[in-house]
Amino acid sequence: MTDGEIAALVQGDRVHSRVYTDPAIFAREQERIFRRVWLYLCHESQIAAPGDFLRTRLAGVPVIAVRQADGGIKALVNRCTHRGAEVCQHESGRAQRFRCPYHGWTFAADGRLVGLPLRAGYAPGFQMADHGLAAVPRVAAYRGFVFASLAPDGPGLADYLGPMASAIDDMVDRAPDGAVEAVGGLHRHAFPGNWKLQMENLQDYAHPAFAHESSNAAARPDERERVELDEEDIMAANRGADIAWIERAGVSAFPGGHSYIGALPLQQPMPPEAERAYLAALRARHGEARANEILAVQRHVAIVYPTLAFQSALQQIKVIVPVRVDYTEVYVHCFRLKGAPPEYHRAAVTFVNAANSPASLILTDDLEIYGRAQQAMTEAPGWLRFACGTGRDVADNRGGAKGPGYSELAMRNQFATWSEYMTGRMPRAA
Amino acid sequence: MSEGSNAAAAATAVAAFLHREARLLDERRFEDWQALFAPDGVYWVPAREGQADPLHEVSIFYDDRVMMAARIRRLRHPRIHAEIPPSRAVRSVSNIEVLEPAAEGVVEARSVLLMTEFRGGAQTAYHGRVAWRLVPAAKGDFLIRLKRVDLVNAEGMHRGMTVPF
Repeated sequence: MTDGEIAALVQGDRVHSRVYTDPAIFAREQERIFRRVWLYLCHESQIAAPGDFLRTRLAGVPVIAVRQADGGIKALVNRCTHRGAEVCQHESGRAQRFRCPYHGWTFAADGRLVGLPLRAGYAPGFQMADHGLAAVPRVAAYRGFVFASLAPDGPGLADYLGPMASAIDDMVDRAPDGAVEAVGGLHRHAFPGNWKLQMENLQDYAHPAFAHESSNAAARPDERERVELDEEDIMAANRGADIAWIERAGVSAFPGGHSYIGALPLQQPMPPEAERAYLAALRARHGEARANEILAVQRHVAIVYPTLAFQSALQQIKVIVPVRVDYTEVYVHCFRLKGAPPEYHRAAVTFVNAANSPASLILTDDLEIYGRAQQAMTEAPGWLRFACGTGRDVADNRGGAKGPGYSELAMRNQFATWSEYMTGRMPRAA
Repeated sequence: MSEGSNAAAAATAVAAFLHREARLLDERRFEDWQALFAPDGVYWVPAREGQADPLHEVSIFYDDRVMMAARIRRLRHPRIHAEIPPSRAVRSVSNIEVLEPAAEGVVEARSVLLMTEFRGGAQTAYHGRVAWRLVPAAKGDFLIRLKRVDLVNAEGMHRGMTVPF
């Protein structure tokens, strides 16, 4: 497939369904997008002490994220340099070394080969130093969120995030102790569709009235006594979000494929005592004016292109993992604001369940629709339109464009970036 | 009656209750199912093995009666896309044990659940252990204070789930 053929699949607000269904395009995405960008690796709190590790994948590559003795973090490729087996089978833990289960080659936490059974069987010139685990070339963190890039060069993390560092700030700044930790658990779900369907949906205020009609109709949040925001609050907010409200919420899109949408009309209700304690702690750290600024940020979902989504004010992130052209996994992590009263953490857990449990009253309709879209586009290829809101963009004060909340601006922006990567160009600097 | 026959009678009553609970769900009689729960009853499906805390860690389901009611209203809506056409499911309940109660007036029981669901053209099997905390009600019946379903693949990769197990 030539660059010209790829470029022809994205024509402004017109996109060909083949970008969702063609396995050759998926393979090229892995090479040209996912092996070049910064991908989310983990949160520092998950591997706090030297030797702490967790297993994950980056663009399909199995890696072990390991905390080093010097406090740094390495991402080691989880493939033995001897005969190719995964050297680490545990999801997470603490280890001084990783011993391959096949023939016992043993690697230090920094990846060096330190144990070689049958040493006498190797020629004198055999160099253990040449046989350490491969390391992902670049790992970098911003305020506790750790990213990795399979590309040895390219923009640094700060340049890559650009204005989207604010999505991380938006979560971490809300913590009175200035840090968050990943202690709220993890939801996992999958759908039989292409990853881009999920990324579009996360910036789409035009769908809730239809896709979530059954949920919105079922909501009677006034019947509840619990203080946390839950499904019924979200559903009622969707129901109450008329077009004038959605327009005001807005969507902002940036070079590099990033974007965010304004918040739903939701207020996290808190017991007054907990709220007072929280505000006092936040003001003690930042002063009243800065604390008010932090709390005034109102975003629903922010996207770090290509596959990371923040719901910062509600302490969750969503990591989207494209597995095959028509199969995508999603991992949703819940965070705790350090220094906040426990009620805040319970509220975050309730919200994550509401929005992203596999049994969520909201998510389940989205997953169903992704599957139907994938099937129909596979069986009946053709052009799609992302035309809503064209011609209505204005400049955003962070260097991007802003449109009304119902605009498909973020999706047009995702595809413009997709086309740049896929035709071998680097996107404009963020 | 002897102690042994009391225990046998209790086990029979619990088994009958658990079989009926499963059948109400199979028959999509969700409102009748909800009525089996005590006013403070909870339906809980943890997100990982051994999870002790539903409040500070995410769960797949953690429904009180109010949330159950919302879930059921949605299941009755004509445009619940994930349930078009409505799912069918068969729940098999086995390995029922009635345990020594932890407190007066409470019945603790365990069972094993195998649910096979047919939805959207695909068949999915769910398998798990269920922990019950029941409170005796009128006429030898029970109300559910807690139904905890520990799926064997709690930490697995899940498709969307629309009906309770």
